[in-house]
Amino acid sequence: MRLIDKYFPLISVTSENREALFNIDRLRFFSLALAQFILILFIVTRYNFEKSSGIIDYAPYVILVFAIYSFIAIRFRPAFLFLACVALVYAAFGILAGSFFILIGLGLILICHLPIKYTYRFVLILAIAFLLALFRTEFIYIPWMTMTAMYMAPLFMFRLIIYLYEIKNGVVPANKWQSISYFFMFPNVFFLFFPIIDYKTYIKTHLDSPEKEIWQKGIRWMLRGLIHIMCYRLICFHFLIGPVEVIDLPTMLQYMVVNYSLIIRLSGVFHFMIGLVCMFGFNLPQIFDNYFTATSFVDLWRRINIYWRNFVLKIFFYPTMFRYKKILKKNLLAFTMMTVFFITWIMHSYQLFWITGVVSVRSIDVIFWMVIGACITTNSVIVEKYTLAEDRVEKPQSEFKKYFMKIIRMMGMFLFMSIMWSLWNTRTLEDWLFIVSKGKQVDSKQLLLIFSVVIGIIGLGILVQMMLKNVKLKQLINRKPHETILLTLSTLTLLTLFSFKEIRSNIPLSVQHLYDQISDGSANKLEKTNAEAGYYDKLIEGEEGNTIGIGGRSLKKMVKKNPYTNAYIYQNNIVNRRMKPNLNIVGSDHNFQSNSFGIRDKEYSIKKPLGTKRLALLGGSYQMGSGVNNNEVFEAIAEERMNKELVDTNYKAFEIFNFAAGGYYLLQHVEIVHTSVFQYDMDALVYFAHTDERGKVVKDFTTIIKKELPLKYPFLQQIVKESGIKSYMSILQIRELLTPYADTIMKWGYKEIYEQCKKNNVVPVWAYMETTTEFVDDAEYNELKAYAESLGFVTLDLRNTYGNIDRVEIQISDLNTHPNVLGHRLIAERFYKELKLKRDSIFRIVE
Amino acid sequence: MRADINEIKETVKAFVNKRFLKNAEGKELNYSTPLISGGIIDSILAMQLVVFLEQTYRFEFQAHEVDKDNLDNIDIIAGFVVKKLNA
Repeated sequence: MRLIDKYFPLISVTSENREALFNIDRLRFFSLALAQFILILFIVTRYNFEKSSGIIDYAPYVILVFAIYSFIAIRFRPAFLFLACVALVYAAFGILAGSFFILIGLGLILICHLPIKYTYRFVLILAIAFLLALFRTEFIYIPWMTMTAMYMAPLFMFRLIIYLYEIKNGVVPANKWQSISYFFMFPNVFFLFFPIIDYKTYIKTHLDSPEKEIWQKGIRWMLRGLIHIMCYRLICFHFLIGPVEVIDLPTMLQYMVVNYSLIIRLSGVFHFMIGLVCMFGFNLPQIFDNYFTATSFVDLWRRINIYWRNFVLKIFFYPTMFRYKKILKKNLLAFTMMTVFFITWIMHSYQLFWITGVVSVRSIDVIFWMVIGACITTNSVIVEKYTLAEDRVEKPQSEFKKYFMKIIRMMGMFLFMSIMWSLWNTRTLEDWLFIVSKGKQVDSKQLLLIFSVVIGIIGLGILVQMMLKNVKLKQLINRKPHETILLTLSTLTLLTLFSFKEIRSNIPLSVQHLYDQISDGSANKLEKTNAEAGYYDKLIEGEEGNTIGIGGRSLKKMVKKNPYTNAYIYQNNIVNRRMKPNLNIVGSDHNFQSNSFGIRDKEYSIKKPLGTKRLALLGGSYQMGSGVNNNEVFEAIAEERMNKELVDTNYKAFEIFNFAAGGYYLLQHVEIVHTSVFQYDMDALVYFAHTDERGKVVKDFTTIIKKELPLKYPFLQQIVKESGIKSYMSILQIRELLTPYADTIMKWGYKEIYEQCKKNNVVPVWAYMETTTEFVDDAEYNELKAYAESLGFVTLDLRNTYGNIDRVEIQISDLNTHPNVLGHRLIAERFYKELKLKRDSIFRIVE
Repeated sequence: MRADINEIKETVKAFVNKRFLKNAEGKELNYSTPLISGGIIDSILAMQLVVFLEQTYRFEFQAHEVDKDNLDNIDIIAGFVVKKLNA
């Protein structure tokens, strides 16, 4: 026995046919697969696909695992895959959390096989799940355990259900390593939101076809996934509109159709994941089947997320039907289907909970699932009756009529799903009804346009169906992945070349821009700013405080609780929340202290020391320094520098009081100016404005109205009266009614701040600062600046503060885009320069 | 109840032809034609086949047995029926 066989059985191929593993033919196909796989991961990196997944960071590791895996003995492969996953977990989470992750996981699998009654095993697992849920909701907070629950639960949430079901029904696991590798599925660590892979399918499809075919299938699906994601980005870039932009029937239709089209991102990500699993020899079946071309509800149910449907059928549909069969004489199918759709809704909430930690029970979800369920049920009952009819005869139809009817049905289904999808992904039912109400506004030109588009689609649909009748074309489309290697390879090469600026510069500018559009990872920014992210967006990319893969830069921040959770006292006035005084919160990556005045700043005396100049700073979370330590906030840095470099006989010291807090906008500042600022004997006050100042005023006022906070200012009461807004209206409707008053409200706010400053002999300063996610609107800046100056504000220009630095470099994380330490340093530098430049106007004017 | 496997195959074939392939063009059914993986039978139609087999051969299906492993083609179905009858 060779040493390698004796001591390293995992990589030994003694028991395998060594010649089979290393024969020239296999090596040739492996090299081809490897080359394509490298290109795929290179494209993922070059086009910034799903950064949070971490697949970009670990791409070389994935390739290495694939290469080794492909040449070790088949019987050792499941164990190797598990070890590859373990190494990844340790690399990402560290020893403590990583060990807990692995041990809890192994423990759960072990419980499934304990020699005790099935019911006891089930109860034990439920108890552990309950415990993990307490961590997931942060009800119990032990940092590394919370993080473990967050990342481990998605791996087990469905697979445990399937596994227990199989064990209950007598399916004996093939071997322990296969079971372990099923739970610790290697690619799942990258994508926590993962397709539900069936246990039996996972086991049975392993190397059930020649490896070269499975590899090529994996490559094709990963490429298809990338193309879907590119399409998603293009749709976002060119067609996506927010709910506030819906003004008439065409925009309403655009909003709905585009909303549904964005499901292409889900199919893209899922194709990529399944393709990745295929690379390890699992010949998994198709997950989506041209769902946009569904011609009926049942057809859609068959085509969309096939893995989910199979899971529901296996675990819920058949068991429910067999149970009902014993008690129901009639309408068995209808009752079963409706029960199953009710469970489907629950399972979607269950999934959302384990991935994001959010317990969501929305009326919209109930409506969505019940309407979809009722439609599929009705359709199923019709199908059942039709097949049961003994004397059914289909009327002969002309080919043209068949094509016509098919495209009409497709369009009907697409429109129906677009309507339902827009409902599901809109914040509230009131908002959705408001959007729908816009559909009444349409003129004859728009109707003609819609009619023309419909006719065009019908014509195109008929033409495509006629073309698909061509046998040769059909064969070409249906060619198996290993028969189209050349096409796949050339597509990958083209995409790779296209990602290089030097090569792109030789092609027309319009095509060059395509790269910017498909490589921009923040393509759904508009969607985020205008509407609540849809169900699948929440799962794919997470929300603030969550990260959906080991690549999320928020990962390490999970270790400790958000320091701001208990930092505020809530009040029934416009400000709504005020910072608690004397806070000292220790967070994972930054600390948070407030002084005895209840502001995030160091301690100052109430009475101003002689010769000191005081500046009050009004702002939101940017100015408060969300995500960084107190001494790293730009205000603190600028103050320190001023006290080092700007003091002279006229200015003995400077004190900047930071009144900023998260969620404060203009209206809150008006209230603070009226109630808090001037008791500290200020010399100047700086108000920070951001991009889209009017839009922010409208959003903030809407929140105040929805929360029914009392409006003490007659001006604001008058606006409410004039605009006709009511707190029960939808957010979108309130915003629309307030928008015409945005300018008036903003100007009133500026004037109020100015008047109060004048009354208290304080110099008003207006500063304009760019955020890390928005680009400066120079026209808006000039306009606002001119208005502020006309009132008597001294103005500071903090535009283009970050220079040419990539915005990612100055953001806290991909989910928390507030400035990081570097960002604050840059802002401080600029703020200091501006203050220095205008020092005499700011501090001397009142002397 | 005892039944000949070839007889079962013929009975099931006749049922599938009549119920599921009546108007299907160009679909020729043989004993190895994939029914579930080939898209001829879906979840709803599978239940019709289950009811037919239960009534014809007087045995009871379990929910987990409604599966591609037992119903994917006529050969498999016949083998499953025989196994159930002999159980």
